[in-house]
Amino acid sequence: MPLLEVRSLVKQFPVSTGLFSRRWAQAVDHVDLTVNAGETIGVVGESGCGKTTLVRCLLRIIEPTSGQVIFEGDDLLGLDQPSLRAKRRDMAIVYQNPYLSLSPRLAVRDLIGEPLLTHTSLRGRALIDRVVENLEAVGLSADHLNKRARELSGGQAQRVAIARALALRPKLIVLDEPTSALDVSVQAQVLNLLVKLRAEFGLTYLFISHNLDVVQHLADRIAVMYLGRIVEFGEAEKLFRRAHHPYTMALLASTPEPDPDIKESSVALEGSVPSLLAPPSGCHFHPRCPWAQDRCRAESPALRVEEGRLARCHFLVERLPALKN
Amino acid sequence: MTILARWFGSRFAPDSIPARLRHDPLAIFSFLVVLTLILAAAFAPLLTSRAAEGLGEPNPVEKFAPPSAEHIFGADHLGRDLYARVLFGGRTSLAMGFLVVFVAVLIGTPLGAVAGYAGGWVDEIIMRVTDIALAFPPLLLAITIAAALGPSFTNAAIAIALTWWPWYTRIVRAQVVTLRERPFVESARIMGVNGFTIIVRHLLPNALSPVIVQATLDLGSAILTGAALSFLGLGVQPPTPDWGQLVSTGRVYFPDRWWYVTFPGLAIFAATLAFNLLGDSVQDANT
Repeated sequence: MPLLEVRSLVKQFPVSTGLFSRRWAQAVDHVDLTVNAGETIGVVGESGCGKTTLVRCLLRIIEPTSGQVIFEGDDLLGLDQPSLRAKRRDMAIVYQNPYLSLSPRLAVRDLIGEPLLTHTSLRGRALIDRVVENLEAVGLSADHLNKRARELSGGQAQRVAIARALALRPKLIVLDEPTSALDVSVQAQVLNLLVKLRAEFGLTYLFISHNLDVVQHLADRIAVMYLGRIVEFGEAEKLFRRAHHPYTMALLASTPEPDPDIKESSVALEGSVPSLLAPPSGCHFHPRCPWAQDRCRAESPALRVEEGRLARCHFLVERLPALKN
Repeated sequence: MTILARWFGSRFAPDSIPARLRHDPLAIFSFLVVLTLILAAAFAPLLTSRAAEGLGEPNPVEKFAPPSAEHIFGADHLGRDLYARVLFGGRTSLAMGFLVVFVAVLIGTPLGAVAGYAGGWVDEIIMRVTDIALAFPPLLLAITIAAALGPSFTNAAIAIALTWWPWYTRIVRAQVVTLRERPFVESARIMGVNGFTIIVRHLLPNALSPVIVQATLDLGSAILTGAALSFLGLGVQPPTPDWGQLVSTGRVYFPDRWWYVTFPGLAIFAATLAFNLLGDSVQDANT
């Protein structure tokens, strides 16, 4: 049984377009996703593709419109508040900007102590010992106990946020662009820390990012999102070697290649992400796709399995041989 | 002044409101006026040899004595030293101001926090009740409540506080509504922290600075409103003195015995102005 299974998740936001008229923006459009224990799933896509909304729905910070989120066998969307609160012991999130995600008036001891206070009976000395243990796990020390977030550097603050997420050894940790707000020099340190902690505690990550390089560093499997839909989902290594969906190809091509001997692919993204209020007909990607045909404009492709990978494109089989050269 | 500045500077974070206030001469001046008034009221028995008169004991031989070295503020229609009356009246008036603001904050803050955090129908009910309370002219409502409860210090304070809490509810709700969406609140919710703890630990500490600003500004108006109720005979009852009530009694003898209204009036003026200036400074320091 997978740790987390998302089935046909939909989230629509009402957008008023006039005094009495409103339309629905489909931020998350029938998303299916499975996360196995011990695995790291990367979710990538441009900003506005719905990856953050997806995460907010599956942690039930906002209520999805429909679908199921099965976590350890229970549908989170069917739980009442007390059972949901108890269930939350097993999930945690690390946000992009630690200065916004750490309560500004609390000291490190209270920030990391909060999950322990909420879900365990640890108090006093034992609680502080556990807090220090977690600080040390992320490379900080007891010296930081009485500091507030604003007194820490970006990297240190993000480490505190990670220690806070880690404190209860949750089964699932969602990482929402955990390095995007940090200095480049610190990004690698934090990524390495995440890899180290995963090995040490057998953690399961759901890693959200717009940066493929960062995701490649961590993820076992990758889901690529475009305009609320998953367009490709498969093993990271294979996906990086050869994308099945044109959008993935374009994303891979847009990442700078440090090795000058490797010739960059010529697929480039043109135009910008269409509005969620007026998504293109048929395949959402067709206005920007170099291979788009009449069929793409008319008919929305389903996710199809191809070489052990899911991709949402009409022309996989037809196109694949042509792209090999 | 420098000692005061150093005391402030050593005790507060560099960007906190008190730390910024110490660079504002007007704030320090008004703070000193407020402090003087509070200390004068607190130590009233030590500052006059006529404490008994201050509390109401008549002294008919000195009826309407004009200001002199013996009675620097003059004496009233029962011969009581007005300086002592004003000192002791300050106890009532200042206490009234603090009590009113305290009760209003105590009622308004939790209601605003709950309305802002819960949202939905809870928010709707609390805010509509707040709107209803705000729809009445405040002084008129306070007069009505005070008249219904019967004239006394406590009843006057309750009456005024009951017309004032809605402002705090609105301020706190507005703060909480914006804070609620912040990642640090979301992060606590994801961890399964309950609503009460989130309000107390994460929302209120970050929502209180505008409340402090409003409370400081309101202290002056609370004293003034308290004085107004006393003036109308709905506050403290004689012989206990109160600035509003002193003005009320003294106005009959104006202008012949001008000192009777002038000195209690000046006290009201000084207190109201100082609290308002301080409130303005706190507001500026907060933005």
